[in-house]
Amino acid sequence: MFAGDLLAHRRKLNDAGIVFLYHGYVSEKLLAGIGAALRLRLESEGIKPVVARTLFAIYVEQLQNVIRYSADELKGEPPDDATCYGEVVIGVEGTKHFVICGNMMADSLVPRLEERLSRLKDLSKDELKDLYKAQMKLGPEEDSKGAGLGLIDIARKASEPIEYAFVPARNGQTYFSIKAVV
Amino acid sequence: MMDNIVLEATDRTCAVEFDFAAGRFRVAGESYPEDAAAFFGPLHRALDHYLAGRTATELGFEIALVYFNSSSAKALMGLLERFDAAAARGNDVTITWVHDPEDDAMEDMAREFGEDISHARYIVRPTE
Repeated sequence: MFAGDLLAHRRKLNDAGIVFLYHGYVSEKLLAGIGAALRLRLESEGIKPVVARTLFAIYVEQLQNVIRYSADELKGEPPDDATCYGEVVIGVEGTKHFVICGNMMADSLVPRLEERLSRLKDLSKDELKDLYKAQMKLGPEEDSKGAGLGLIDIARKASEPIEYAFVPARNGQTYFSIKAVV
Repeated sequence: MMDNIVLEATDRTCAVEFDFAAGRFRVAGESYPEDAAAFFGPLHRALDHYLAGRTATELGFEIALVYFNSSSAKALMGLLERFDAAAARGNDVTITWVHDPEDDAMEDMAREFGEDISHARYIVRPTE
């Protein structure tokens, strides 16, 4: 029966244009491994190297956000190789590709992220550029593990406004998902 | 004289050639290290050490990156700022950003980084 279930899943994913799906713990090491598989896949599809590079760049920023901010962290790992639970989905929509990532986050962190994203969503490319430069000079925010540039970078590289959603879950957590299209 | 820094490119880090004696510096390839501060920190420090008190030296810095992630961006700007400050102190500095001719976004990025460079010569050109 398991093969039948999996095949049904596979067909559903194919029908939805999904070429790549990962569900489970991710870490920086996995990021590189999945990234290499993703690049091979994009190459085999024959998409333009510049587009493949942009998709890969968005994938890296999104996955690093999952690794840094997922509330669902595997304990007992050395701190330099954080291992967090999340989802990565890459697929085709018409002539475009999309990258979606998802992870659980603490409810308390939602308002600030939501505020940042709602600000980013409506900015023009020029405004995003200015924000990117200003943020680069400002340095990381206090509780940010990166340079605070990742989301701006995703919004800049995407060819359409980024989409995102917060879905209240259980135990004081919210499922956060973000989608970028190239 | 300081020992040169020569780092081969890895899957996630760019190639680095810092030839202190010749005043030639170069980063090339892809940069999305696990820990950007750990990778670029020693390069910043070596450059600070080399540039401290230096004047009237001809210096060339070439950036030939095909991809860098957002956490590398700030570190990269840190390299550029150091060379620009060296130019302000009377060194003859040329920064050259070489990009894939097909990659308009990287060309834009190169020009954006250059907007804050006011003393060094700053050239953006496609790879040949």
